[in-house]
Amino acid sequence: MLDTLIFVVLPYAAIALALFVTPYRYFKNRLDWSAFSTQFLERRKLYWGSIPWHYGIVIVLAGHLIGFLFPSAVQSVLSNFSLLIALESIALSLGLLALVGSVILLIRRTSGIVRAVTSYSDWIVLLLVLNQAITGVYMGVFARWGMEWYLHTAVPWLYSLLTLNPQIGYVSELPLVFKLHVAGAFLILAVLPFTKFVHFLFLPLDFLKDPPLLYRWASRREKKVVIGETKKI
Amino acid sequence: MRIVKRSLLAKSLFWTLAVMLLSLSAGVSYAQTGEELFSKKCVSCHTIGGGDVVGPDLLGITEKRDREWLIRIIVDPDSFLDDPIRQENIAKYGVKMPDLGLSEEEAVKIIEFLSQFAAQPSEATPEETPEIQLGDPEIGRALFIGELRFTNGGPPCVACHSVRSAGINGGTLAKDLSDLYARLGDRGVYGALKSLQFPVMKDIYAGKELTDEEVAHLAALFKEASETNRAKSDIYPLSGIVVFLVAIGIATVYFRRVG
Repeated sequence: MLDTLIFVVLPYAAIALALFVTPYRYFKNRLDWSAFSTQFLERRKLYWGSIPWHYGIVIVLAGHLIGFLFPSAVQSVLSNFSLLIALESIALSLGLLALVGSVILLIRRTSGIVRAVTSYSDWIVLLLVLNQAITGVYMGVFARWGMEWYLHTAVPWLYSLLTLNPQIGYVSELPLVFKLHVAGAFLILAVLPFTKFVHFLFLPLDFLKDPPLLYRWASRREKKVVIGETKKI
Repeated sequence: MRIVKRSLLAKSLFWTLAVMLLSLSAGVSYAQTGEELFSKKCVSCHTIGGGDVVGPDLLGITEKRDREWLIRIIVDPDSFLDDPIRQENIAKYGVKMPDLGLSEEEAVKIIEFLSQFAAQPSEATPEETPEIQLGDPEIGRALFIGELRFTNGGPPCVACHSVRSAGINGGTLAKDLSDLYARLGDRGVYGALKSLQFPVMKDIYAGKELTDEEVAHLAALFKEASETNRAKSDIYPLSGIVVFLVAIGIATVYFRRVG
């Protein structure tokens, strides 16, 4: 029954929430709907948290998506066993970056002025992403080669969800850590329209061509500080 | 503004839970039938009328053995290993029936399910069991690691399994198959690969069964693996940790420049 909950009920509930609440909030009150930057309050931990987290997770997430969209092409690529090991090594390193980043981001929220501006939803967001990083890295190390078995278990199950004919046999016998990873992923989707996860929907592609922002600090120092990473919603 | 955010979050959690509970109420008090139990716990080693594989074919078993004996071997197989029938089977198949953690109630359900399949007048006589011919271990290796694709599109074994004694550092989601041949022998390996009725595998290989030649090549690989030890050192996951450290190094240099 837990399997039905994780692999059928939760995904559909999450997709429904994301599909229906997102446009509702978009048109209702867009102004209180933001990733609420805290970059002005604290920068050092933000760099070591946000940069590893985002570089890690964006590429890993893209990998999940590519495997889902083109399973047979990816299977052909992975038929080169040395290439599989190389790609898995890169994926593991990205997973570790995401893990370290999410831990630092969580620690950053526990003290000082950043804590004062932290809401419940920020904690939920951080705990959910930490869960994804921990379970993902755990599988990378102890249940390899996930890149390959994902194509033959999770992917056909996801397609069965899309065709409204859920086949949980593909995934229901996989270990608990996989179920935690899946449950976490769909919880993220479920809370997306209510939390700062909404920044998924605003692809920050313009950042790539923006010049770095120039901050002038009024009190502390005269030196010009160029910040490579900026937040803009 | 904070209040608005919190109440929205609370609402969302409430509705998610409500939807989940509603959809669950449809499936509550769902007990497993004998057939479901059989397909979960028994099919990896037994068929009903499909011939002996890892363990004996169970067609007509309820007429052949008495009910108490069947309950006992399902519920507590380790308690009567000195039983003559069991000793004969252990000698014949080379493996003993494992303790699957089933209750007596579940055993009764399975036996009731099995009792629907009465013994047919035997057409397929035991002598007709196919001759096992082993293939080429090198082709078996290429199939195992996915360099050669299976004809019917099944996933390569290496995604989840290793054969370390043959130098294949494969997946660790499922068992290392180095001693598969030593445990099961020709017939056992052949039967297991033909049926693939194991957890997870039974679904992902449904309609993608291995061909006889593929089974023969893989069996040859497993035989070679059981006789040699060509274990190779494993660069993963150390390789991943090294790439991670390099990335952190780059981030440090970049931070010094912009920070």
